[in-house]
Amino acid sequence: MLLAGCVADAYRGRVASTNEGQIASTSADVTGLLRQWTAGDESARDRLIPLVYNRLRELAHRRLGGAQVESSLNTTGLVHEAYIRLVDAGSVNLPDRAHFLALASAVMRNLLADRARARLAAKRGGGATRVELDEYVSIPDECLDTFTELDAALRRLEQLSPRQSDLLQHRYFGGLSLEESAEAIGVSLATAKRELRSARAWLALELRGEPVL
Amino acid sequence: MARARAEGRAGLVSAQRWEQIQTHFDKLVSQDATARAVRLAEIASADPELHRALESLLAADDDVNAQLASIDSAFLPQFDRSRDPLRLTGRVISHFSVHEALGAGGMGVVYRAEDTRLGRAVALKFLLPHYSLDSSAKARFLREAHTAAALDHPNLCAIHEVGATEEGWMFLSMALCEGETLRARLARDGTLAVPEALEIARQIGEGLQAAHAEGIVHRDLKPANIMLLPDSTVRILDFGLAKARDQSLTETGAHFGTVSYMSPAQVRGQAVDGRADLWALGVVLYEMLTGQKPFHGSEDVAIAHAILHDTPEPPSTLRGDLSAPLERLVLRLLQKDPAKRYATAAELLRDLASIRTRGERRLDGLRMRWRREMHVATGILHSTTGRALVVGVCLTLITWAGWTAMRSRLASGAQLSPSGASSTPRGSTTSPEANRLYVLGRFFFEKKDSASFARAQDYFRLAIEKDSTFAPAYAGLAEAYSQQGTYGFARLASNFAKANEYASRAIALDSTLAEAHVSLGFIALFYDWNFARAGREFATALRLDNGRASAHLFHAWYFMATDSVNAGIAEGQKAADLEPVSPLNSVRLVGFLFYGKRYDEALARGREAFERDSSFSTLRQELARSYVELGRCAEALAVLQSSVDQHVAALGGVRGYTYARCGHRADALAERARLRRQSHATGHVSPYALAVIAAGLGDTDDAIAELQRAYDERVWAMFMIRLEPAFVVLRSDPRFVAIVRKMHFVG
Repeated sequence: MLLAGCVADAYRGRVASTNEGQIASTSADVTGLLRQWTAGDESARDRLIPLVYNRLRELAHRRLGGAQVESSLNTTGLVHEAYIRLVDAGSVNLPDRAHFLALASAVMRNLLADRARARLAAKRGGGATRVELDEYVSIPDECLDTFTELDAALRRLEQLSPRQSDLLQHRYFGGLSLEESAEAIGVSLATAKRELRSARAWLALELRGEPVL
Repeated sequence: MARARAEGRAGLVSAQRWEQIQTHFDKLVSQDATARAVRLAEIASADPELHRALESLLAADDDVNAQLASIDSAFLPQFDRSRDPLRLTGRVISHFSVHEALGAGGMGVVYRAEDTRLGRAVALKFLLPHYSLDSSAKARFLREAHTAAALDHPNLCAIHEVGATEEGWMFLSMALCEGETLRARLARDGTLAVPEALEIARQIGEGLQAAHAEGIVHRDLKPANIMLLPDSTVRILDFGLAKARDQSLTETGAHFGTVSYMSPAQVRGQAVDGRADLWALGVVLYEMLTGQKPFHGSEDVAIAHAILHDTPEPPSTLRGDLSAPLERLVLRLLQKDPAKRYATAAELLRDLASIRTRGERRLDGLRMRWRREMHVATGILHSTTGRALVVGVCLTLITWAGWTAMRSRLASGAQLSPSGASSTPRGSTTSPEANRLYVLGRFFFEKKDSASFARAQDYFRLAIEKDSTFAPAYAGLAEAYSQQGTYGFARLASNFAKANEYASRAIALDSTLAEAHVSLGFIALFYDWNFARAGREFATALRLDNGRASAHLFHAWYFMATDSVNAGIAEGQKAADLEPVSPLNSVRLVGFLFYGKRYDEALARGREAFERDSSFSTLRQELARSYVELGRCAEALAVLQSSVDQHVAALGGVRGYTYARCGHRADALAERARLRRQSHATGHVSPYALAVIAAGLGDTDDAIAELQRAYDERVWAMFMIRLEPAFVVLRSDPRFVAIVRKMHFVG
């Protein structure tokens, strides 16, 4: 249990080529967009998403490509690596970093959700088309089930308290620290701590099938 | 199914209700059991539905980590042990070239790397990104690492050097040591023979004693943190990191790896002292003897409960060959009330020794067995996993002045504010940011390597940007520039000019700043060879702050240069007394004794330091020099032979000189040729060292030529030429006399 996260294993299929030059040029772009977004420019967020999305897929592929197919990765590890590779960390402060990781955790969750839907469709025998993430990674069934449960619970929590839902999302899919989470959702550290505690108790009951409400 | 229910419940009403529930919940969790029960009873009568919701939430909260274990382990940040999560393989970071990832531990990833500056293998332990990025965590990490670097003991593996990558990831540099963790050993063997368990416990106890003496508590002692080395040494890993990690984990809401070794106070979240480590040692000893933990349960909460309330089963009921005194010892370590435990590790060690004496005869045979088994185990693990499991990380302290000088500096700052509340350095600043940058500058300064000098200068400059009247930061710049020069990392002339400027600036701002006078003295002595002025500045510095070890140390050099060898030795002794654990001060004292021709004392002192840490190359060099002068060639060669950093000895000329004096002429010539090639290629070989070798070879012309070059290049060691035993043969040469005269020695 200590060793394995919900991991995505390598898919031995198609290989997308990566272009280091392109990566270098987007680092400055991403950092700039990130600043604009933190400063309140929402359109910058929309431009960031595809960059993050592509990078996460690329990373999944690169990390798992080649000879070391037996290896695995975890979602928050991927998100952090995306951050490291996309953002010029030296010139970024905590708010920027927190915003980026928050965004990336949402993208990561979406990638997994896409994958889960595709898997479900395949199970129903409905001529499944591979979603994009699947070009690079495949996820063990039991992990996908865990993910589906968690995802559903987070959507229910969103109805009750969007902020707490975000908080759990940042923790589980972005590996954000509490400090970063607080920054990303715009509350104090004390509030984030308090809300995380009740959210975790809520989640425990929810996953046990004994919902509070 | 749950989802269908949820959709029906969703909406504004539920959101409001949830907010109400939360408000009550937040209040209740902060109350004690009685207040909570009273409040719940009130709620129950007013709103039974709300009461039900709160009861179940509180129950879930009670063991939420256990309940969410599967989700947490699936999705919370973890790093893959078999890979390189930070993608550092093949990169060059600072002066380290990273070779491969060795494994991931509690808070970091460990890489095998090469220290290209010293040409040796090291382990680099990186904080995982989510630990390393916010500034408070970084500061905490630095502080803890710094504390841990203070621990110099054969049974401890603390941290030596702290650095950061361009991305700002913090890392520790440590010596690489391979062995087997006690955890792996127990997994393999179940239980250990009594004498072996006692020997391991003794060594752990010794390590704890040393750490506790420095006021450092491990807080996370467990078999996974105990490394058994092939030579039967036991080392405690990760000292000084537990606190930083605990805080980090608490903040991120993650749960601890294991509670099995926690003391009752730790379980309750209370402050702990060294007795918490003694408790953990009790658990470990119990486990080594019986093969099981004294407190068990299916999950963390149950174990925690057992720690607080259960009396452990007497070990003798689980194993027949345990003596009554041993059982008493184990159970005493596991007393819930710390006052009933051993008060100190020393007390425990006394009892352990008396028990061990009885079983001593069996021990030697056992050590042999241990060694044998270790090799077998290592072989097996290497063949199956290739690495990781048998690799642990230890520190061997080869630090230069390091943490000690830093500590004394902070201490001297504290002395100056009578309230004792502040550690702000003298001539202090009102800007906490300037002070923080200054402390960082000092930290890097004490590392004394090329990159660190540059970083120290950057930090001092930043501190000055924050507060342009902050005298200690100018003094820091002066020291960083002057020592960067003498260590050979920069051009002397321009560095000393800058150092002089900054030191003067510091004194203009605060004429009572001892370290600024030390700097002026240092410049006068090591670069200007202005001995009279150096003497005055050091005297002033010592009048201002007599507890400053560096001032005594440089004052000692001044006495050496001015032919007052015994006064120099006394000052060297004082520096060593002020910072007894500083390896540099010990080594320098050995050197001073050597120059005083007190070779036997030099050797005694040097051997003592050598017992503590045999990896300090400069120390080996000092030992070799004294052996040579006593004609003990075999020992001189032996001590250099196994030197970790061959080229340090080479650079001092000691290796070549030893060969020359011990009848290995061909080796001496080869060494000289090698150094000359290196000198042409890099310019980093001191002509003084080449002169020493030439003198040893009897090549007077060459020795004189090299000394002339050393004089022209203002090699600082030149002021030692009159005391250098190697140059005794040159003393009658008029060219040598001329050089000595040019030095304008006084005194």
